[in-house]
Amino acid sequence: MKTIARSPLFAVAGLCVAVWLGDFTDVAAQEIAPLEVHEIAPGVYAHEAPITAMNAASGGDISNNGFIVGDEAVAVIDTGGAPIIGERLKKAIEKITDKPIRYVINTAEHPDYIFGNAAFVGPDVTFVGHRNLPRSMAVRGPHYVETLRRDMGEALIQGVKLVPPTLLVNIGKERKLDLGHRVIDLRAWSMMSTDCNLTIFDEQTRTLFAGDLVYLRHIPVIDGSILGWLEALPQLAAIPAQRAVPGHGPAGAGWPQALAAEKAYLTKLAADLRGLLKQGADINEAAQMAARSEAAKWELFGIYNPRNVTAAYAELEWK
Amino acid sequence: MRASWILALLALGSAVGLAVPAHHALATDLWPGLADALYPHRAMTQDGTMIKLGTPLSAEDAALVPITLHIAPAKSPTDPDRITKVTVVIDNNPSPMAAVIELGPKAGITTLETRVRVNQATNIHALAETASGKLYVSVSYVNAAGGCSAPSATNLDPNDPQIGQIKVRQLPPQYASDDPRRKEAVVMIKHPNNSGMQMDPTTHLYIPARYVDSLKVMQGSDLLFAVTGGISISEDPNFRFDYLSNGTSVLHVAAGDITGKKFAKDWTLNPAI
Repeated sequence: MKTIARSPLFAVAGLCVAVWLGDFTDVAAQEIAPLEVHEIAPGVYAHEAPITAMNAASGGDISNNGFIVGDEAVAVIDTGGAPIIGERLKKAIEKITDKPIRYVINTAEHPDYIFGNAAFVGPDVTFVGHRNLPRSMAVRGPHYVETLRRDMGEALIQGVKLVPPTLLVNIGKERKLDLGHRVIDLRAWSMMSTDCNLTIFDEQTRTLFAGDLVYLRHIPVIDGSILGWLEALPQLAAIPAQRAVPGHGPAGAGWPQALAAEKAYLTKLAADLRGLLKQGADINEAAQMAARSEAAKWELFGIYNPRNVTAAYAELEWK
Repeated sequence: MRASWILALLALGSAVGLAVPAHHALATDLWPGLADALYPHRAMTQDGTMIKLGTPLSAEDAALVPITLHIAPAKSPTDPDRITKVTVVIDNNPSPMAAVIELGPKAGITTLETRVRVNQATNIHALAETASGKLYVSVSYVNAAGGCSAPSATNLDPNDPQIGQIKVRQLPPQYASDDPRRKEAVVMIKHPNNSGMQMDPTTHLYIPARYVDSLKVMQGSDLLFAVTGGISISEDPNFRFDYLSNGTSVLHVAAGDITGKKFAKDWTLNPAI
C-alpha cells in the first residue's frame, strides 16, 4: 500500500496551513507541492490516491480526483480530503494549463471529496453537484468537520469550508457543460452508494469519473442503499465509456469491467443478509458473518464491511 | 490518543490500589449528575445480575448502534424483583435520555434490542427499576467510528406516506427455551426521527424536530412494552424482543410522534413461528 512519507508532508502541510491562514494563497502557493496527476486520456488528468483511511497519516489524500481541460476552461472533479489537498491539486492544474478553472464538481458529500473545496473558491468558479448535495452537506458537513478534527488533527482541518454547489444536477436530467470544444455530461443518480452520487463523462475521450459509484481494491462503502446501488448498476454499465476513474483504486480502469468486483461484493452481501435475516440472526451476528468470503478481495474490509452490513441489514429488514 | 490516555489513567488507578472502574473514565463523567437527576440520592447496584447492557465496542455506524438489554426474568407478574422499567442513558449525547422502557407484568421479556445514535465516544447506562423500587445499573462504553459515520441525510418528505409504516417480524426464539410460549419478534416503524438540529439548506431554517416519542406494543389486552423515546433512537425505530405468548393471535402496535401524528397496526401472528 502506498503511503505518504510522514515527516515531509507534515512539514509542508503545517507550513502551508500556517502561511495560508496568515496571508491567503500568494505566499503559500510557492510552498505547495503539486499533487501527482497523470494524463490518462488527452486533456484528462487524474490523481490516484493511496487506499487508506482519513487520519493524520494519510493527510486527507485518500480518494481520487482529477480535472478535464477544454479549449477555454477547466473542470475540476473533487478536491480531496483536506484544504491542503485542494491547494495541491490546484497547483498541479496551474502547472499543466493556464486556462481558468470554471467548474468544481463534487461527486458526493463525503469529506474526502469536498474538504479541499476552499482552495478553489473564487468569483469565476461555479461549484456543481447533485440536487441533494447542498442538503447532505448542510446536515452532515459540520459533523464531518468535528469528527475529523479529532481523527486528523486541527492542522489539516483548519481552513475547511463547506462550499455547497450552486449549479445543481437533477436526477433524470443530464446536464452538459461546455469547456470549449469539449463537452462533459453530468448525471445525477438515484440513491446508490450515497443519495447524491454524480458522474462526469467526457464525450471526447470516453472517460468516466465515477466517484463513489465505483470502488476498486478499496471495499465499497454503502452510505445510501444497497438495493438502489445494485439496481442501477446496469444503467451505470451502459455508459459508453472506455475507461473510468473510480473514487478509490486504480485510475483509468477498463469499462465496464471495473464494475465486476463491486457487483460481486454487493450481490454476495445482499444474498448473505437475506439468508441471515430469514434465520433470525441479529444485526451483531450478521456483522460477523455476512460477506466474509469477500474479505481477501478488498482492502479496508475489516473497517467497512461491518458498517456495510449494519446499513444493509436495516434496509433489507424492511423487504 | 484518547485510548492511551485512558490506559494511563487506568494504570494509575491500579498502581495506587484503586479498583479499576467498570466504565471508562471519560474527560467529563456526566453520569453522577444524570443519575441524580433521574433518581435523586438513590443507591444503584451494579452487579450484572438484574440488568446487563450489551453494546458493540465501536460504533460501526454512529447513526445506528445496536444495544441489547438483558433483563432478569421475573418469577411471576407480582414478583417484587420484577423489572418494571429500564431507562437508557447515552451520557455524552446532546439529549442523553434515549428511552424509558416500561415492561408489561406478564410480558416475560428477557432480551430487548434497539438501535441508537451515538454522537461521540460515550458511556451508555441502562438503569433498571424493580417493582419494589430497587435500582440496578449496567454500563458499557462505545467508541464512535470515524468521519464517514454521520447523521442520516435521507430526503424523506415530511408528508411521505411511508412515514409511520409499521412492520412486525416474527423470529424463531434466539435462546433455547423449554417453554413453547416463548416467542421472539421485531417491531419496526418507518420514521426519520429527525433531531431538529438540521438546517434546511434552501431556507436556512432549522428542520423542526420530528421523532417518535411513544410506542406501545400489546398482545391482546396485555402490555408487552411501552417506550417513551427521544432523538437518540435511530431513524426507523426498531425493537427486537423475546416474550411469553399469552395465546392471542394479534400484536397491537401503537406509536406517536411529537407532531401529534399517530400510527397503529394490528399484526396477525403466524402461530407456526
